[in-house]
Amino acid sequence: MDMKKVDEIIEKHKTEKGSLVSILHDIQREEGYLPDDALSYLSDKLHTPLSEVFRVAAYFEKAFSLESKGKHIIRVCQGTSCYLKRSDQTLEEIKEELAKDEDEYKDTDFNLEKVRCLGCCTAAPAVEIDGEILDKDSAKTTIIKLKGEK
Amino acid sequence: MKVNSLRDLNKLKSEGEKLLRPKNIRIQVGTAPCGISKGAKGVIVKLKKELTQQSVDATVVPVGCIGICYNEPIVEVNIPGKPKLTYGNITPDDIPSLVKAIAKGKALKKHALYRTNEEDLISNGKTFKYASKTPPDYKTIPTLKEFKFFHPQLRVTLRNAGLINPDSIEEYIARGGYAALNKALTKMTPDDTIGVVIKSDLRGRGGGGFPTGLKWKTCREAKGKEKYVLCNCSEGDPGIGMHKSIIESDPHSILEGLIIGGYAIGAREGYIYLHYGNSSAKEKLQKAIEQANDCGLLGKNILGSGFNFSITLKEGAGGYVCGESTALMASLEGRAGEPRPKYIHTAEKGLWDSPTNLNNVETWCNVPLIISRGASWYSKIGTNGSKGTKVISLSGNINRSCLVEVPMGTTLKEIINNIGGGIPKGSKLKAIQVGGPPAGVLPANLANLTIDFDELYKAGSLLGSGGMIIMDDKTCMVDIAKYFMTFLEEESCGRCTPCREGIKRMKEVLDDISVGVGKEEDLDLLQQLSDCLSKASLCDLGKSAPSMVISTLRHFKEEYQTHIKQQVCPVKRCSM
Repeated sequence: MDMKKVDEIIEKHKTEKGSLVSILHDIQREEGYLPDDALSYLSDKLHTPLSEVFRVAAYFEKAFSLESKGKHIIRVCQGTSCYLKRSDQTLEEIKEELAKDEDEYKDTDFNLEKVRCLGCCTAAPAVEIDGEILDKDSAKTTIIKLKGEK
Repeated sequence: MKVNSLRDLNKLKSEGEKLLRPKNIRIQVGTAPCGISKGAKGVIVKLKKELTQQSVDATVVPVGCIGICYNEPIVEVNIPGKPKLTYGNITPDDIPSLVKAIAKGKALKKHALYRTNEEDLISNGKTFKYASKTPPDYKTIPTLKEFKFFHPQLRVTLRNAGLINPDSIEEYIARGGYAALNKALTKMTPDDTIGVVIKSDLRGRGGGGFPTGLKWKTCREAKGKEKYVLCNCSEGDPGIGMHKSIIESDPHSILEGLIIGGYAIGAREGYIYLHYGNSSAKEKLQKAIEQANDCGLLGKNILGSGFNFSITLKEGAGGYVCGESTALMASLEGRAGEPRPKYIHTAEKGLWDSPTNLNNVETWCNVPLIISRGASWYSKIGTNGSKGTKVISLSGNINRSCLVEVPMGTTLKEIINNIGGGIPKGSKLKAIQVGGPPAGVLPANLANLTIDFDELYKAGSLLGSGGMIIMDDKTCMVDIAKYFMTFLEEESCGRCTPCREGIKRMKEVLDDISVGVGKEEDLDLLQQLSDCLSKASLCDLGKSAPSMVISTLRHFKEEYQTHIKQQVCPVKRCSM
């Protein structure tokens, strides 16, 4: 990662007390994950032990990723309302949809994950694709469309 | 424009009134998460295009959630001098005929849900009249007061939700916003302010129902140079999205509450802790904070009172456990969000070891109204022990998933049947979860219980944060207990052994029962583990973790026994 970018992010949060989590969020937004080199650099700059930086990044394992993720992020809600409307099946259906024509696109294109709750029970079972909350059927249509974009 | 006095505030108010009731047509589209997920963005695009094509002079305004989420996308049309019309289930395909109707000043009856001739403003008790006469073709459309969904409801916290543009501070002020702040800062001392909140009997809406005024008083009296007021928007329970809806509908009501709280407690800084991955809520709050800063309603010498106050929005990173006060504060400090033992209360030593007061979104939203309408007005709403209203996000196996606000004392049955439209055809009500995982479940025969902190507590449940989830007779109670233990196993921070190990073992036992290898003594084992967790866990989340198992064992024991003795799941949900 370009360390100039990290400097800019640190600068942005200069006056904020306890800014580590906010900085990590911004790095993740920039890169899609938290690269090792950025964390080491951050540790030096913030005079915070690298172990502490990693501890925070790893503790919040659902918010932060230490590995690069796919281009499109699909999150299937596992909240109670969605579960009652069989979000477990939705997850399987989406997995199947992604498995079709697998060789047509790289597996790094899509990142499928479970999420605790998207807070949109009206759409249950809800799926979020690249930040947009959709119901199950629209989600499938969107995935097919995204696959076609390749 | 800087607001230094009531006169300035009134200037913004009249600007807001012009926006709310312009000379041309105002069209509102619901764009809270419920609206967006049903395609509201597409509706707006098509609407703007069609208005231009048909040369209709109208302003399209995105608004928040009006509550009738099951009818999204919702479009409201206000033609000056006519009743406001609320349309439901509008797709982009319906737009041409809708705009045609608007151009002719007619109603599109097929989609019309109700008309609003006049509207009560809860913030000051006044009534606003949209129209004194009803055009003949509007007459068959029910009025707002005849629309049954709203009958049992009273929208106090949600007073502006779905009615104003959340990005407009002027519209918020036009509906009575920041009048309470002006009253507190110019006419009341901090002690008066706390006195009113104590007298109102407001209890915290975050779960425990602790008296808010007393909490403020303890924090005010605590020794410390700096004090902090915090707003918890962590909303960690699964199956609940009401805070998100409130933020995206009416962010200024949260800010106003928080500023008043800061003044009363003696804090100069406030923090809003928002759950991560919530970009639209974050944008709305950030914008609201900027606007309040620009107007001088935040910053130095607010309204000429000499009171300085700032609000910082912090994006959290944690899950369920970060809803716990000490874990939330650790996370705000930029550390891992783990709870600590609370032998010293956070009111004395909280954020950065300073006296800290934490309330949740809904509690803060109640504060401005209590100040502007007075404690005795507020305490007339509700029951003896629970005053005011409760916002409930209703979902699960119910006909209408929606955002509801009812006076305390409303029965669960009324919410389910009259607001939620009952259980889908072919199913029956089996169980109700009222307040998230710590509340456990209540069986259908207890649906006569009311929304009341003490009544629900006595029945072994909790009002909690008010995420009400309805389960029908196709729900397996062993499976749902397993679902919650799976959730809690992932969310346990792992700091204390009873929670970290206990939940894991309980889940293993439930796994066994659900695949048909459970033993009869397993039920005792579950009970023992539950006791251990509730007594020995470090924080309330660990202590309440077994609630789902305890409550299902209490009310649905025979279902566990059928799984164990006959290796059968009565509703065929578990794969055996």
